[in-house]
Amino acid sequence: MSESGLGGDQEMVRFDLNGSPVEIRVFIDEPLSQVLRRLGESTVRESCAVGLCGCCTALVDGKSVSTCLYWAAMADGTRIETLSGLTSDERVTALQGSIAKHGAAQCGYCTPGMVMTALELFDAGEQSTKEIEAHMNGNLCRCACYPEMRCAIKDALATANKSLET
Amino acid sequence: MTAQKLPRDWTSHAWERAIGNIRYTDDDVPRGMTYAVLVRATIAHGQITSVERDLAREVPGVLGVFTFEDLMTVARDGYHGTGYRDQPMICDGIVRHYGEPVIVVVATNQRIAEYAAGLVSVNYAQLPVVLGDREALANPEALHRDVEPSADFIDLKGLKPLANNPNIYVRSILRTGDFDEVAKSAPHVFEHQFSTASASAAPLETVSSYAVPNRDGSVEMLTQTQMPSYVRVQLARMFGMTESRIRVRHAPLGGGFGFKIYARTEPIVMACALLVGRPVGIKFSMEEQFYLPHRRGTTTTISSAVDEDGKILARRCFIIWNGGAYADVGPRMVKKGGNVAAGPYEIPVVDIESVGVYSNRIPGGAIRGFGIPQIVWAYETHGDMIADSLGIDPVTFRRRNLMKRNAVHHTGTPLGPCDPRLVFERLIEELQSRPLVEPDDPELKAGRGLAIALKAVMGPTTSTVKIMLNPDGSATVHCGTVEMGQGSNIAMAQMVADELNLSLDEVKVVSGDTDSVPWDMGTAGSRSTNHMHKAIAQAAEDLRAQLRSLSAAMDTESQIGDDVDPFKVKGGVIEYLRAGFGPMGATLTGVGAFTPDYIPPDSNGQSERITEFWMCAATSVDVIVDPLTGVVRLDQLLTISDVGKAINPEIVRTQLSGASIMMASISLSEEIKYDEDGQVLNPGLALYRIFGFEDSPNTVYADMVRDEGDEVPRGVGESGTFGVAPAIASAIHDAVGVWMTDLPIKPENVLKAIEEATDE
Repeated sequence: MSESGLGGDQEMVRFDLNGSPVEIRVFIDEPLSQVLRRLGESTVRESCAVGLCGCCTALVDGKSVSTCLYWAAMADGTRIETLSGLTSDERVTALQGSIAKHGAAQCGYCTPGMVMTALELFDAGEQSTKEIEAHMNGNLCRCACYPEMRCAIKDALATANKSLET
Repeated sequence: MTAQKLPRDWTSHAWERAIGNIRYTDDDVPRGMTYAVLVRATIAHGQITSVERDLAREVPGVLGVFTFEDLMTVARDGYHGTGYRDQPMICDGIVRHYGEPVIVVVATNQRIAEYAAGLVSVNYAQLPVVLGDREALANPEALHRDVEPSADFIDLKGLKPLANNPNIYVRSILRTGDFDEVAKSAPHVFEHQFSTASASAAPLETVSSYAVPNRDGSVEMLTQTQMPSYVRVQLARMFGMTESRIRVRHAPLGGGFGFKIYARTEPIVMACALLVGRPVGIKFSMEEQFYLPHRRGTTTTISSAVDEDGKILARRCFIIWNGGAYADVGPRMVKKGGNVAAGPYEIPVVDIESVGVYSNRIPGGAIRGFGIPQIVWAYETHGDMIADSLGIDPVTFRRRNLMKRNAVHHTGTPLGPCDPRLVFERLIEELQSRPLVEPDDPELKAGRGLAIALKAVMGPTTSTVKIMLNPDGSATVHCGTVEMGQGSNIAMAQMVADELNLSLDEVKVVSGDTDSVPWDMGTAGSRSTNHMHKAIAQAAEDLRAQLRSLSAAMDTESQIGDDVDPFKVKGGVIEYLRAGFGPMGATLTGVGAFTPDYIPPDSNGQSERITEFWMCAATSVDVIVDPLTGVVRLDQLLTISDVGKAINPEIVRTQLSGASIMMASISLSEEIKYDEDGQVLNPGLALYRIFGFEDSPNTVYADMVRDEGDEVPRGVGESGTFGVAPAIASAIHDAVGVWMTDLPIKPENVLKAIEEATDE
């Protein structure tokens, strides 16, 4: 039993977090969400703990992942991005501006996870409302900002696609 | 964070959240925190016969394994509750619901505490389990004995369980005449019964509380609460400390919805912190959160005597509120729900009996709407069923019966500026430009329904505010309203900016700390903006008076009289402050307090002033029903609400819209399921499904109306919820011709009803 806690084996993992190398000892059954929070990533939020709500979404090697269901030990050698590491990403700032304009956040607890999941849509070209909903369906919002978020994403995508054309 | 800078306005609220700039409670856990994990009852009713905790105590890192008796060694009173002090910090020997905490394990970290909690074994002698509404009412065994009223609230004064049935902890009567007398000679009498299931508010930020004991014996509490002032009162009373020695802090909440009201986990972590002499916190998982108070289930029997034209002559309601193991907010909900159970209709004779009963379910608490949606579910569906029977369309039926402008409510309290007809006609107008969708698939059926409802604000409670006028004329506002997504920090700043003639950038709102923020009863029951608005006006008036007297030190022409608003004098404020305090000026503090007038109802429920204000909202829903599966999809959801003056119309619209979608989710998808032994079958979001993007209506629209000249903000957070469920039921009837009377409306029940109707 180690000082930091009970319960079996620990492992040293190394990954790139928002552009900086990280080396951290994790329990082999510790979800990535908890490790990221230990590292001070406050925009990664654990809620349902069963991969349904999307509050803990981060990008692992560029793909959105529910980090509550992703063992930290499996993150060894990956590149991880959270919202706090994407402050200069134009897609992110455009989406954030759009969320503000549409009032698409109430309590805001789910919002960073929404932004992380929505990011993938920027690479997918034009999206219908149905396609946006299908992509976002794994992100829950108990304040139910769904209509506003739908519009915010749609707007941000339209602007991004327009700027690609010109 | 990002360099992007937006002007401070209503969009700042969402922007700060989108950039991840808000720090929630768990983002700033105090240093040196140790963790408490609760061992929960595996039965729904019984006596604890023995507890084996030696194994758990021996685990390295475990700081304590505590029973109720252990917690009581540091508490003066181990019980709390708003109506009755019937809720022990943890189980007091008798388990009254499944999942009730029976033992607390404190360890240096959550992992150890969880491991050790698994080593505790508790044995029980089981007692009969009572779950159903009518079973609870008929239960001969009292679930509680000698419960003590809390006496904290004027509207809950004199509570006493019924002598002949102590499981009925509150019985509320509203009577303006004899229903049977009217019914005897009425052309039509209708009676229907409606039920609602338990549901959880399930905020995505799951509950946590952290208590830090100081060496001087004082305690700092960081907790997720909608009621910091009241939590401090309860803790001070329970632990025999002065309020000055308990500091309650909170961060913006990741969802409240009435779930984070009153004392919840705070007494447990406080007791543990005092016992182990170290900071102790509790962080619930989503699953555990389901053992905190629920929206309570109801059974409502409602009867109406109606004339040939569909005019309601008399209405009788009997409502059973299944309150679960502890009364919690039940007494108030039973009374308030009963008060409005006849709906916003002109009915000469109403006769309402509303009862709250104990059972072995999870305690009933509050969710957005505070019981009103359960009541509206009954009277609006009942009304539509009557209209259908008489061949009157639902709009005409309501036009014939709705209360008129300046009406007096059944309770005897005038509606004031709240005008149900104004709200209703705005909804009808909006619907005219929105034709019902024609489904692509001819097998699918579309239908439209609507509903309207009335609610009173939370009982008479106080808000106070402190405005510090800084030497440069800017303002720092100390205000206890809890930000939980409704945009209150921006709204409060705007109200102060308006009073003090400042820009939004010149006003800062300080909240979240009872050491510096004066009393506010809580951010709940649609009360806070209205009450704070009035307190802020008073604080501004206090500042004006002080500025006037400071100006007396100036030359005669610079002095300001009572007819001049010093905040409107250009450059005036700084000059008055300098005249009073010298070249650097100084801080002036203005204070304001507001408590509504209240007249307790008589034995028939009558009072000229039972509420500070009323809220009215109307909802319409378009559904698409698949008759082959019973699946109901929402195409359009409209809400019109009379919120008085909207401080931020855009944010008010998102509040109304969000509330209506949340209630659509509760109406169609959410039900806390129990097995016959009282075990909860679906805690957590895996088996308890809440609405996501794809469930949301294709079109959602919300708007506000108000009486001309009404400049006072009223409630916003709840009114979007009121009429959603009956509007859905009415739309389903419009689509496929069947009436649904039980919530949630499940596909299998819709299908069954369609099949039964076809068989006939």
